[in-house]
Amino acid sequence: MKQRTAWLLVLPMVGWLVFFYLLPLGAVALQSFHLVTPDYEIGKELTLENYRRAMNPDYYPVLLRSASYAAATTLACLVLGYPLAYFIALHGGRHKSLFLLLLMLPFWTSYLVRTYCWMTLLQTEGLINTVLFEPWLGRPLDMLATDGSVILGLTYGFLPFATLPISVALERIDRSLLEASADLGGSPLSTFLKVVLPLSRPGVIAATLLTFVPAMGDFVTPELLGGPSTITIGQAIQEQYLQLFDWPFGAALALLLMVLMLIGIALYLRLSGSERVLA
Amino acid sequence: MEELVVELVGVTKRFDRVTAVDNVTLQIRRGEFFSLLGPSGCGKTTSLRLVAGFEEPDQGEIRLDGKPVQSLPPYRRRVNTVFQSYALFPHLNVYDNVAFGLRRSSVPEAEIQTRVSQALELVRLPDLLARRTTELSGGQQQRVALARALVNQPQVLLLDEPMSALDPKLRRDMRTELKRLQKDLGITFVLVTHDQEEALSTSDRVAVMNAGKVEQVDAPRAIYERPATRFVADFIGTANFLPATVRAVNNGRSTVVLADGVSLVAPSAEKAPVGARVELSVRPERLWLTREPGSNGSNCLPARVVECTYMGPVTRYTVEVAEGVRLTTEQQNQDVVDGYQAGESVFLQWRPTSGTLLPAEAR
Ligand SMILES: Nc1ncnc2c1ncn2[C@@H]1O[C@H](COP(=O)(O)OP(=O)(O)OP(=O)(O)O)[C@@H](O)[C@H]1O
Ligand SMILES: [Mg+2]
Repeated sequence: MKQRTAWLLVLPMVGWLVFFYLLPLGAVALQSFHLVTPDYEIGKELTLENYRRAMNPDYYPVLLRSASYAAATTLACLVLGYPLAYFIALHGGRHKSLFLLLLMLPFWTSYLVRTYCWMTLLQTEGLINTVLFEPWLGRPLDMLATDGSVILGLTYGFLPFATLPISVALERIDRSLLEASADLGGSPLSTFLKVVLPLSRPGVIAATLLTFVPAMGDFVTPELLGGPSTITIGQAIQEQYLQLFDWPFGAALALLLMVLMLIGIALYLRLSGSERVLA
Repeated sequence: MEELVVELVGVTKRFDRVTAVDNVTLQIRRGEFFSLLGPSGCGKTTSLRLVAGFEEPDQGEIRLDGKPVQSLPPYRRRVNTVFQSYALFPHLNVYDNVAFGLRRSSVPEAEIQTRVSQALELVRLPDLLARRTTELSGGQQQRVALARALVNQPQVLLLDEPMSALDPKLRRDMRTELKRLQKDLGITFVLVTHDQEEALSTSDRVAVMNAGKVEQVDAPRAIYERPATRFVADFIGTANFLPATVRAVNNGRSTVVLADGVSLVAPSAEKAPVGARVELSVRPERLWLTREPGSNGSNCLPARVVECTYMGPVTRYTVEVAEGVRLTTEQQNQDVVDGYQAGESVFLQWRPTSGTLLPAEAR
């Protein structure tokens, strides 16, 4: 009886998942097995043609580029986010919630608007060039439409997603463990390496997933901050949907990406031995 | 012989509003089992943390082995702590927990292996090396915590209420075990506890603390038999107090008079000169009741039984010797055939040597 009441509580979420996730996903999957007609309708015939097209080696560099961007973004987010999380969790004192609020503050503005801001900052006549590089180097730097600008934009966007889980993990570490380490002769550095870092691993794993996965599929940032040389898989999919109106082929690309990511995540969790940690 | 390992000299530690440790001076000798005993919040843990290096004193000096250490971080002090919560590393197994300190001081791995097994044998916990610490019982965790500290051969082992999380039976066993370890290893133990039985039964010397101050440092017997202050007398065991004034001091014996003029005899005390307002403290088990006044040189007070509680081997009596002055006493039931009844008039007697004169505290 009690068990059944508990299940009632998750019912809204299950419903939500079914209607807004599983059904659309099923529709997309179904579409991917049809061809688009010349007047942009979905054809009737079942076929694997879209998948055959998607295996085209032309997509490999795009995929590889997306993965590199995602990896670089994840790395940058961890490198920047870990110290930030460390400070907030262990030295935030009574201002802890204020710091967390500040971390979340950018979300009060649309991601699109914030990315446009980066555009105006980075462009040739932008603020960074006029204030920094022109006086310093005598000429502006072309920063937009490079790998760097895309990774910068992605890192900026996902930094809070990396910081939060790490700070939660750090917060959960019993302070007496840090004292125990010092008591046993552990210098601050070895206390960090031998106690804090291993104990914050679940947070780091969560941060990695929360950054890598969305960065891999992101298309807004490369669209705005990137250029012709920085096309990502997200953009390629978006192009099929919104410019070429070949939804079935876009669906096939999206599903392949999803399967690839699922395999990647499973491998990552297995390798980091964290199925238990996350469970 | 009387080498001092730990010294606190006029140490004061304040937190925002409270003075947790107030001008404390303590000397702990090499190889002794020393206890810090006191009620909750009296500053025991803070004192221990000052020695370990987790807190810095606001005033005063802390010496380890004669050298001032108050500015040394914990990892530079040769003391180890057994934490109240044990603070075992959850990501390491038993072996790696115990080896933690040795690895930090770069002991070769082969030596680590022998020393870890020795330490675990010492606390009678071999064969659990590969276990996760989260898979151990409370008692086992405590032994691992002990081994983890002892394996480093510290000059001083600090223990903060190490047994408070154990059940009573296990606690008694551990108490004996701790005492054995301390004797065998000859390491100085400093034990923080609010359990007087624990402190009295294990320690060579006990410091009784109250509100950040040390009230008395003495051997367990002296703490119980000759408490220095009313607080100590009251905190350790139970005590009866009779307000009195010192009339005469003669040859180690003082004569005091109660408010109603009855005079009593007690061993003299330094802080109780002639004319001083004092409190005469007597333990309940040192009192006996009679129907006739005694004449053998014991103190004797007429009293009225207010309450009696039969408790099997003993009966506890509450008697009133004057308006509002009540004492309790316990009588072995073998001595008294029919016992005393509430309302009965009796005589309360005790040997002069059983009393202690304490300076009256302004209250
Ligand atoms: N970090 C701290 N910040 C503020 N006040 C503190 C801190 N640590 C201790 N205190 C205060 O100092 C006083 C002494 O605390 P301490 O922990 O030393 O007591 P204790 O004798 O160990 O008590 P218990 O038996 O309850 O453990 C208490 O009033 C406590 O509230
Ligand atoms: Mg304490």
